[in-house]
Amino acid sequence: MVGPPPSGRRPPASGLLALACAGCSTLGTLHGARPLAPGQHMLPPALSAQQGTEALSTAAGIPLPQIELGYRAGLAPDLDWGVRSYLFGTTADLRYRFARLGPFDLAAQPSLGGAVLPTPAFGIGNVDLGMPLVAEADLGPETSLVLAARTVARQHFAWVDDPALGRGASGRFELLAGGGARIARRFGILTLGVFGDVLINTSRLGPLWWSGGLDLGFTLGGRAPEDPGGQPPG
Amino acid sequence: MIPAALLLASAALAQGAAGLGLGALALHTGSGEHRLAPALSGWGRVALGQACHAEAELGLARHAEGGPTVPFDERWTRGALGVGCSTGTRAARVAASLGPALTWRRTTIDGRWTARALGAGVRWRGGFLVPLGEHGELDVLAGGASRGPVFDFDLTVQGGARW
Repeated sequence: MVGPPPSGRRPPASGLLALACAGCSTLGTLHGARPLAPGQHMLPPALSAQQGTEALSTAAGIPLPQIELGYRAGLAPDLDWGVRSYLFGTTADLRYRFARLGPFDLAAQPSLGGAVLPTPAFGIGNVDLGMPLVAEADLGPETSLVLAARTVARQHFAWVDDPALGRGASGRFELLAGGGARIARRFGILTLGVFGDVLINTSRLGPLWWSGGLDLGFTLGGRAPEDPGGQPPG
Repeated sequence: MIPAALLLASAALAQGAAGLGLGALALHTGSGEHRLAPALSGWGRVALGQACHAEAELGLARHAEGGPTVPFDERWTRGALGVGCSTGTRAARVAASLGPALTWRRTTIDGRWTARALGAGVRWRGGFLVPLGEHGELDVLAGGASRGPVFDFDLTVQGGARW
């Protein structure tokens, strides 16, 4: 446990930055339920704004901006993987289309990631295990709708190592649950998406965590991730 | 890194499987926080038709905390039954299950005071059932169980034999 700081000493300025970025994990649902085919690659940058219970934005009443850079590649029919890097963190995931149900493709997209911000005096961070269930259906020949339900198991951690503040570490677990939606339109090799996500913290009462933004996807090595592949669901 | 089963075409659900599991349990402690603890479990599953199954699970975990706070030692045992279904376009299947659970806790505070509690609740899990060769199984499942008004959450990797 973190001991109390001696009186008369204020946390360093770097601590304020750390607090500001405590919500720097990405919260967005950026991808659909259709994995890239083997040989396909995608570069999916994104811009978003987000607000969460840990962020300075909650106290200030303004959302925090977030930027993401990513890479995806097809592994097998119905299976691809990807990595996303964002401010102070990275997430990697596998996406597996496990069924087709009427107009919807259904995929599970487990992810492991997190964020960390070390400072000379102390650091904070979190490890996230995401378990999204994603459905995608066509709204038109080049337009699709993505709906996602998901949980995020998040372990926060913090440590202090400063002569004035003391020395110690602490952690806290939270389970976030919620959903998101995305509308995407393809323009050749470019896919443009608009997304929004809302999560609640099931471990304690608090305001909603939300994220919304724009994403781009440049698909290389093929036109679109449409190859169903594999066998019919068993 | 990528399980071969994800790269293989779809396979039929095994008639049965059983084994041991290791997991991380986010245990709802008396302080109201969820604390991570290692968990060990035994499990078994039998097929109910082409896509569904019944499963049983017995899990153990321990969470101890000391340091400057009052030390406490919490031991936890849970038995659960479940019915679930799975599907997949590859050999690995996405599964979900639901069923009743009984959780027994024994908490010792400062090595002197002990409390015991038995709580009934609901157990739910979802994740991947991954066959390994002809007779192996490796499942990755996330879920939770209720105990009255509170919840424990867990992530389990369970391995075993299938037939």
